[in-house]
Amino acid sequence: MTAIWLLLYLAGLFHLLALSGYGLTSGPALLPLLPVVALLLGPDLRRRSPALFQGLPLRLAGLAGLVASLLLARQLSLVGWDVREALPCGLAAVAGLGSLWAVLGTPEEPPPGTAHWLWLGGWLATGFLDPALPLVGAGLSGALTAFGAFPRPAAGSPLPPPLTRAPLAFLLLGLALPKPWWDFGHQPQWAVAGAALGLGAALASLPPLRARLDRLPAPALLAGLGLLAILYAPSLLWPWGLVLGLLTAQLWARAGSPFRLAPLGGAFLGGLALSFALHGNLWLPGLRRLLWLGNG
Amino acid sequence: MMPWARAWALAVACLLAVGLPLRVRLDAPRIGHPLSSAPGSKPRLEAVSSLPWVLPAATRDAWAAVPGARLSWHLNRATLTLPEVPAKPQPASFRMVFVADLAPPDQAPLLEQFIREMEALHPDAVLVGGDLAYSETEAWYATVAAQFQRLERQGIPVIVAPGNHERKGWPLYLRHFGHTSTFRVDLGPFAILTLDSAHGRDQLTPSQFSWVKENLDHLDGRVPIMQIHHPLFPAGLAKNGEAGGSGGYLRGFDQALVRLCEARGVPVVLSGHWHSDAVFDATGRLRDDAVDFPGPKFIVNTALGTELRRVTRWPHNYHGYRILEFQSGRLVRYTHDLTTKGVSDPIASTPLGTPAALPGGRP
Repeated sequence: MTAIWLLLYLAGLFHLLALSGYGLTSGPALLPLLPVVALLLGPDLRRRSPALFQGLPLRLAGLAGLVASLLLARQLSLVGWDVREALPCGLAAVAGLGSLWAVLGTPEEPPPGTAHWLWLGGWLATGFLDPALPLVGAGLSGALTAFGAFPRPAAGSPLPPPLTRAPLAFLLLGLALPKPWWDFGHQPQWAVAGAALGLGAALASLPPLRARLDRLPAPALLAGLGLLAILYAPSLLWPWGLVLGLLTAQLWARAGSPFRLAPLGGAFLGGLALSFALHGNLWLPGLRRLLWLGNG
Repeated sequence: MMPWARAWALAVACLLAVGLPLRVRLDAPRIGHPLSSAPGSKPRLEAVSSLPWVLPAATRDAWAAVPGARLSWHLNRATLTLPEVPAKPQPASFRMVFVADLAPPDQAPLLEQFIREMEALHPDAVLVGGDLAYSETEAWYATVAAQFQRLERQGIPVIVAPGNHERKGWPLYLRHFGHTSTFRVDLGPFAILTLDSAHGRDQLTPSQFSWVKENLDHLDGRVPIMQIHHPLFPAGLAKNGEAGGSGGYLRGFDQALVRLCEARGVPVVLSGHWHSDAVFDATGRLRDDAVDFPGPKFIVNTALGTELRRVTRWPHNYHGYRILEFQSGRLVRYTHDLTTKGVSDPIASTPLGTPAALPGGRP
């Protein structure tokens, strides 16, 4: 569930807000930031009050997350998001909090399996229809999890040793993932990369490939993620997304157990924000050629 | 398998819950994005549906009633390609007007004046190069859209590009001018390419640059004209020291785009953003020495109705627009005779309220 929440909800929300010209220009615009605060504080709250993350509260939160994500997607579908309006901002907050609640209420589980990555890729692909739909994927996954109906990953082969610099790896993932977003803007082709990511991660979770990827040295994994933040071309969306998927699956396999949601999610979000800032400041010396190949 | 089957079934149910009842958004034609009407072109209606491969009954029936049209799908994106526009004798002359950096609400009379002058001048097309609304309110966007609609009702196609100010009220821009901010319209002998330089925050991005290349590779004999809000060149040596923070230019793929324009014979690239007139050649030199020179002309236009600036050493500043005269697809005039001596000045656009731009005729 951590991969689903971070890649479908958190990344999806960041993408939507960036597409919509987000700015703290009104009170309601603060609402979508609540799940981000909860990401950082939620694990601590769970430790203190575990009862809130079980039974009825968990189910209510999961259900609220699903309903809010559906209403949000209906609201934004074909129209876009005016972040000054209170209703969609509130729905985005409830969708995020509800699905995050389900993540926090999930007992520690192995990294996602092939079917989970395909599920995630499928929801990322729905971004082609509308960029708000991946958030529905997070909402539905959260609700199913809260009701104990979301398939748990099976414990497979032994995991590779955890990355000592896992936050850096998640930051690099956040740096690479949005490249197609900034490139395509409102054109929906960015979702192709999401579908490819899901497929690549699913392939990486199959035993033969998984065994090979487990032997990948940690620096190579970091370097690979870093390179994908540079080596991007719109004509290579499928291979780019597939490779990103292979590395993403490895990243979750090496994230360590238990998954440290606050630092790793925070690093991932930091990577997304850094990517946004870098791509908006091409006047800085050296960036223009580094960030977009062929930009002369 | 069962839990996954249930999860996928619920996923489909969720997509239906979002997409039903069926809704559709028409992306072309709409205000600021007219249909191609050049002989030999194939006009295309573009719509996005809330679910893949289905349209609401009213749209489906209306589209099915168009004889000879062909419907194609890309998931939920439907395109209705109309029959080729028949060849017919075309007038040799074509007049295009370019305007950018329109009026804020407190300068609404300037926008009204521009519309009246266009109604009198009746150009073959009006290109609007961004920063068309300096107020992020629904009412003002609706006002601007209604003004353009006045021209469209009189048969003057209006082609709109977004600027950086549109990003401040982006959902309003999308609602009124559509979700397709990079597009091509074929009019007369021209392929008019509208780019969105604010899309990548003052830069072009790789996919947009590829789109330009692709279109320049498939011109079908048409003359390419480009409009993009951000100028491709900095003021450079021609910079006026009093320009302050203004004078920003395109940051991504700018040099590659210049080279491409040179290589593919693009006669003119139209920009705004500076609120100040300027014309550059492909080397980035300000051409205040001549009204004509070989190669593409990179024109930066003054503002129609917002604050004026002096970004370069060019001394004149006033609210205005630019009239481009073409003969048989060739650009023959793009500057104005400020001194009314019968000779065009270099760089100068046409001041708003110029009697010469009013009926009758040719400036």
